[in-house]
Amino acid sequence: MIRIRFFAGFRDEVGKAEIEVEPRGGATLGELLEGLKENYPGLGKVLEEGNAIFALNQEVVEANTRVKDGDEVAVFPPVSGG
Amino acid sequence: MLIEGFGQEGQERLAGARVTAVGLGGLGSPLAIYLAAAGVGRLTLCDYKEVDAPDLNRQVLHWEGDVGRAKADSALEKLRALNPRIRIEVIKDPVSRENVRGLVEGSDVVVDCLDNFDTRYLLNEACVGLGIPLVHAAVEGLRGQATTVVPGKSPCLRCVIPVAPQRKAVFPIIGFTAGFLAMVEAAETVKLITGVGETLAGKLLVADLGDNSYQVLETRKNPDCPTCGSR
Ligand SMILES: [Zn+2]
Repeated sequence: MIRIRFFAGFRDEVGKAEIEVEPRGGATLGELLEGLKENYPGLGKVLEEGNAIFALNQEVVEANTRVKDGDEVAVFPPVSGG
Repeated sequence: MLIEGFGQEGQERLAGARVTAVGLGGLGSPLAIYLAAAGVGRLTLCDYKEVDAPDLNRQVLHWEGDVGRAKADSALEKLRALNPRIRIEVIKDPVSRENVRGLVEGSDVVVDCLDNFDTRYLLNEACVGLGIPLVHAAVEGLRGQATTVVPGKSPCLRCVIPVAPQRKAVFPIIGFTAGFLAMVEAAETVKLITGVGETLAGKLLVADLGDNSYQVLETRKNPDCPTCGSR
């Protein structure tokens, strides 16, 4: 399984703090999340450009990074105020 | 003033250092107070705006009577009174593509206390180009993030956050969230100058004071980065 954790406002957008999904061979992080949009429409907003920081096993990565069984994904919204 | 653990040598390094902080708002106010109190020898502070009443909840350098004054003037007055032994300069021009290099040149550390990514990317480019370490933080509501850019060694700000976060029209910045992230920036600055401890170079701190989650993620240099990439 791949564990996807949502932080801050994304929890409300998605309606869940965490989703577990079956790995799909060779899928990227972005593809994995796209595939979940039907069940979690709030993910659409998360996936808009500039909205999210993706971390794979505690490392910041781009959405085109491949994911595999046992991976842990975290999705954060970056902020810009000061 | 002596800081435990930094010793005489660390204190001398601070006294000999020049730090430029861009922005004197929620992040810049507490940052400047602590760097002045720590004895950073030369502070260059940059902000072109005036103090606005709704800012007072977090911009702790500016007080009720300062509303309408230039933030730079208000900051200079308080910080000079706090530590008359250091040199403080203020710049009241907005940061632009034209003036950014001149603004940061000669600094040992530049601290990003800005409120928008367009200007942050300009600062990042100038610091990477001149080889000056840059400390970044940003806040919104109860959340914030921070990282340190050491040119040539770590990923730059654009590697870590390649696209400017979408800005909400109005969002709250709670004073203590800005204070929290400003203290992370102050610590990064002092560590860069003294060589004590480990910085956030190559790391991204993502903090949420709402649920007390504080995560330090590894970051990677993007070889195709338009600012620091090698390709
Ligand atoms: Zn870069």
